[in-house]
Amino acid sequence: MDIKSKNKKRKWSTIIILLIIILFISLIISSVTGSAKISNIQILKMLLHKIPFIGGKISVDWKESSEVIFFRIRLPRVVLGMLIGSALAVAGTTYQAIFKNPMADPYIIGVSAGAAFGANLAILMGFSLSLFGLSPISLFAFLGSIIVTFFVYNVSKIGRKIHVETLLLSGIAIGAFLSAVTSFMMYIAGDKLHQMVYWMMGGLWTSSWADVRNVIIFIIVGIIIILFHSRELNLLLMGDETAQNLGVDVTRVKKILLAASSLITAFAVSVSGLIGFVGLVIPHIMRIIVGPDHRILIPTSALFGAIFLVLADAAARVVLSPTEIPVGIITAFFGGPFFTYLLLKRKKSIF
Amino acid sequence: MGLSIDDLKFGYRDKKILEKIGFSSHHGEMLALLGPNGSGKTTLIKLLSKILNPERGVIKIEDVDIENISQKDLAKEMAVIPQSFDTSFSFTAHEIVMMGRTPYISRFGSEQKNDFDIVEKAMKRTDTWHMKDSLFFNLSGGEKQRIIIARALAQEPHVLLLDEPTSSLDINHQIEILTTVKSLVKEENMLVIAAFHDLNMAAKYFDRIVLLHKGVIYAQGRPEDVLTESNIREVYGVECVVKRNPITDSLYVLPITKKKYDESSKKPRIHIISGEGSGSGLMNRIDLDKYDLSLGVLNLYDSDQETAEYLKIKKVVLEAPFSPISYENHLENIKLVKESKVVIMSDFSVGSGNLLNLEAALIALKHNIPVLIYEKRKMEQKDFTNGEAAKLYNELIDNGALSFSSKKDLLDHCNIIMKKL
Repeated sequence: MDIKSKNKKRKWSTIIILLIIILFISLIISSVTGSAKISNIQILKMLLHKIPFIGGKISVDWKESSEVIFFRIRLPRVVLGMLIGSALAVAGTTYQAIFKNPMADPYIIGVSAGAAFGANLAILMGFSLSLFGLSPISLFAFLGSIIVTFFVYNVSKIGRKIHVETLLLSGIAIGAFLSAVTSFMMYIAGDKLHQMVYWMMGGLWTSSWADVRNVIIFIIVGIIIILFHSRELNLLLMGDETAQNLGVDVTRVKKILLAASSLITAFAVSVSGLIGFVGLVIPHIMRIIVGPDHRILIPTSALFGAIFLVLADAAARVVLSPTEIPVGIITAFFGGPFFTYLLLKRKKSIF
Repeated sequence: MGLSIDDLKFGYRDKKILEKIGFSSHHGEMLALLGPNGSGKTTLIKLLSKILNPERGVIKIEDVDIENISQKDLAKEMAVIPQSFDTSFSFTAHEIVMMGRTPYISRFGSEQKNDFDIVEKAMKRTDTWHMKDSLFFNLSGGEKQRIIIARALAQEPHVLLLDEPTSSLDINHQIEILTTVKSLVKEENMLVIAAFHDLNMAAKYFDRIVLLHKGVIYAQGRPEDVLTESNIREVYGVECVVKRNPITDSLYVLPITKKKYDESSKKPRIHIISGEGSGSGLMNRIDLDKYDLSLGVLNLYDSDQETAEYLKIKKVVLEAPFSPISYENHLENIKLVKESKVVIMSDFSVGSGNLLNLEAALIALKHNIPVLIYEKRKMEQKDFTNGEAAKLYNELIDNGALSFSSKKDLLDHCNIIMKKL
C-alpha cells in the first residue's frame, strides 16, 4: 500500500473524529439551551445523580420542574434531532447518487407528499388512533409516506428493472396530485389550519422518549445498511452499465438502497414533520469538503446532518424566546448562505 | 473453449434487432464485430456482458451459461471497455482503476496490498501510472480511455469486450490503444471481442471478423475472406477497392466516390498530367480566377492530390494508392483531356503503372490540343519501363508537344495560348 492511500485513510479518520467531537459539543450546547434557565452545573449533577452507585452521593439541590424539563423534554428532543438530522442527510446523499441528480432530496419520490397528506388527514378528521405510543398524526404521516413511495416505485418499474428517471417523474406527478388534495384539506380546515401549517414546517417541539424509541432502531439500522453499500454507491455514480460490468447487481442494490433511504426518511418525517434543506444541502456541503467517495461521504453526512439539526433546533428555541420558531426556518436561513459561500469558494464542479 | 454463442435472438417488442447469431472464439484471438450503424453490434456486446438478456439462445464462457454466473463472478471473468467513459465527480485516476477490484473486495472488507499491486501493474501496463493522482475528469480523451483499459485489467479478466473503443479518439490514440490490446491478447492469452467501425483498423489488428447486417451474420472468417468488395457493397452500400498495403501487408479498404464533375463552369480549362508531387509547383501558379483546372490520373495520397484538394480542384481522376491506372480511370482521364484547351505534363517518373498517362497526352495531340511538357530531367532518367516511356515521349515530340526546362517559360507559353482563345 503506498503512502498516498495510507494518508487518505488517516485523513478520513481525522475528519470523522473531529466531527464526533463537534457533535458532542453540539449536544451539550443544545441541551443547556432553552427558555427555562437550567445551569450547566445543575445538569451535570442531574446526570451524575442518575448513574448507579455514585448517584446517591449527589445532593438534590434543583427544582423538580428542572429535572422534568431536562430529562423529559430537552434530552429526547436533542437525541431525536440528532437521529433525524442523520437520517435526512444520509437519505439525501443516497438519493442523489441513485438518481445522479444534484436536485434530489429525501422527499423526491413522494415521501413528503404522502406524509403531509396522512398527517393533514389525521388532523382534519381528528383521528385518535394511536399505535406503539405514536401519535395519530405521526402514524398517518408514516403510513402516507410508505404507501406513496411504494406506489411511485411500482409505477416506474419496467419488468425487473427500475427506471430512475421514471421514478423521479412519477414522484413529481403523484406529489403534485397529493399536494392539491392537501391544499384542499387546508382550505377547508378552519381552526385546524395552524396545526397543519406547523406540522408541515417541521419541528421537534413535540419530541418525547416514545418518539425516540419508535425510530431509533430503524434509523440506525437503515444508515448502517447504506453505509455498507458505499462502494456500490460510488459505482452507481459511474452509470448503471459500468456498475454492472464491475460486478454490481444494480437492480438489487438500487432496491435495497431505495428501501433503506425511504424508510429512514419516513420514520424521520413521522415524528418531525417536513424539515427541509437538511437532506438536500448537507450532502453537497460534505461533498465539497470530503469529495465524492461515499465511504467517507456517508458517515460524515450522518454526523454533520446531526450537528446541523441539533444546533438549528437550539437556535429555534432561543431566537424568539420564550416562544420558539419552526426549525425549518432556521435550517434554510443559515444553511442557504453557508452553502452559497461554499459554492463560491469551491475550486471544481461538485456534481 | 473460450466463448461461444448459439442461436442468439434479441428484439424490442416486435422489432427484431438480432437473430440467429452463432459463433465462438478462443483465448488468444481478437475478433471484430463489424457492420453499419444499426446492424446490432452494440446490442450484441450488451448481450455478451449481460446488460441485456437474450430472447432466445445461450452465451457460454468456458462452457458455463452466463445466465448462471452471478454479476460479481462475471466481472472477474469479463471486462467491458465502453465507447467512452466520463464522470464529473472528482475521483482520481487511481481511484477509478481501483474500482476494477470491486468484484474481489467483500462488502465489509477494504482494499488489500494485493489489490494495490494489481492496480499498479495495470496502470504501468497501460502507461498511466504517472497520472495516478490526477483527477480523472482533467485527463484527455486518450488518457481516459487508457485508464479505463487499466480498470478493465484490474478486473483480471479472461475476456475483454470493447464497444467501439476508439471511435472518439485521434488516429494516434487509436493505434496506441489497439496496439496495447493486441499485446495483451498475446501476453495474457485473453480473448477480445470488439465492435468496430473502421474497416481498415479491423483488418490490420484483428484475427477474425464477424460482419453483421440487419441483425444477422452476413459473413464471418479471416479479414481477407470477409472484407471483399462485394460484401462491403452489399452491407454498407458503398463501392470500394480492397487492396493489400505493400508496406504493412495488411488489407485496406478504399471507398470510391464517383466524382461528380462540375459541368457548370464555363471557364476554359487546363489539364495537368502529373504525379509524385511534380505538378504542385505548376498548379498553384495558374490563375484559377481565369482558368479552370483538371488533373489525372493521380494516386490517392500523392502530394499532388493533396495540393489539388487544398486548391479545391474538383476535377481529379483518382486511383487507389500504389495501384496501376485502371482502364476506367484512363477513359475518365481522356474525357477530361479532350474537354481542355491545353494539356500540361509535369516532370514525373514513368513506370508501367502510369504509362497510360503518356498515352492520354498523345490523345490530346491527336485532337489538336497543345501539349506542354515540363522537363527538368531527361526522359532516360525517369523511364522505368525499359524504353516504352521513351518511345511514347518521342512520339509526343514528333506530334508537336513542346518541351520546357523552366516552369516560368512553360506557364508564359500556356498563358499566350489561353489568351488567343
